[in-house]
Amino acid sequence: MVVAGLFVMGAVAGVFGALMGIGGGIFLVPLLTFFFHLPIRAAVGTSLVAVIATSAGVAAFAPKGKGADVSLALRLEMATTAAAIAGGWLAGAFHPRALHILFGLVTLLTAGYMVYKTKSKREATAPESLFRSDYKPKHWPIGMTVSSIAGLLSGLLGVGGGFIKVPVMYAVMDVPLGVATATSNFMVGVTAAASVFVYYSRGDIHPFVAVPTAVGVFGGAMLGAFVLSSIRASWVRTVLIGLLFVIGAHMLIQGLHG
Amino acid sequence: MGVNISRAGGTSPAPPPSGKADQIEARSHKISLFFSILALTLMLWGLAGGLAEGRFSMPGAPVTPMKELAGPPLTINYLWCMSSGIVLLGILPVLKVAMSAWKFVGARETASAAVALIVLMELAFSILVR
Repeated sequence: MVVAGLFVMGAVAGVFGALMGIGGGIFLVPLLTFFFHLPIRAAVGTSLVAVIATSAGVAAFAPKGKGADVSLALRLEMATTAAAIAGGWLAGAFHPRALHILFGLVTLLTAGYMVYKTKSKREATAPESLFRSDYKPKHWPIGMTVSSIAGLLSGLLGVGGGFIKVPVMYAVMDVPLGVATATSNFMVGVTAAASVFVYYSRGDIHPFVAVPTAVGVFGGAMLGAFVLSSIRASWVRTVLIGLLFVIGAHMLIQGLHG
Repeated sequence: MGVNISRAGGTSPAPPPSGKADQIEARSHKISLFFSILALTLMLWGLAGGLAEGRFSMPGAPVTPMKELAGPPLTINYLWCMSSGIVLLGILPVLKVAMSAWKFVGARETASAAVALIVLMELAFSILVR
């Protein structure tokens, strides 16, 4: 029963993770600690395995021409991976409540900026496309800086950081939302790979928890990658904004009230 | 792999992908898929074995240490299978970055190939510094 529960939870996180380009770790850590009473480090270790499974599931089954922009992903990943290493070093120096408040503020600011961008894009007459090839990423310095912050938070909090990368690529760098989610899915796998072996060698990964979750996530991610090519950009954007507000508020309240 | 390597990553238009780059892309996709399926098979095999033996508990035993996975296995049990699957899954993103570097070299996109190599070095550094 518990195995089935982990599988279903993983599958749901995989679908949303693939659709939003956020890996799913941000849902899994709270769910594993709250419903399955897992210690936080074991939950983070499981979540990192699951984030890699999301990335692998999306990459394996994304339709041709609707996948990640690997060139863009790797350029941003240079900053993200370096900052994630620094974040891992700094993690011990930060108070957990400060991390929660920082996490919440960054998420809420990102959601607010996406709402602002959505309003300005609504004035355009042409319908928005999830995937198009005629884009050219803009504002590289801002993109690299915010990716560094995402990497730093990844190292500090043990999440993929896709919830920051997607809005930045979409709203700041002008990358189509479908390409941004697929690119983020590629990136979160690489970022998670930088930390997963630390958790592995510390014994913070428990196969009976990680395996059903990862298998569920992989299946969900395949479904998400399939669905992503046939749904409207506005649906993805609305769910992403709603999710960012909920996560941001939750983290901020947790940080302020301990 | 369903990835595009030369759509818009640079600040100048990328050259059209060569036939060699397409071959590498197809091969990379196959390798990724093979590793994913192998990892999942090992994990599922181990999980089924563990459940059949009635070993399930929450959170259960931790993963088999890496040094025991690196050498020839003394006994292949459910934990060994699940741990090997997890390690294979963890290696997959690193492998994908390496294959991207290979493809960029094949497509003569030197800037992107250099970027991929820097990311690979960063990943190696992240393992070494711990």
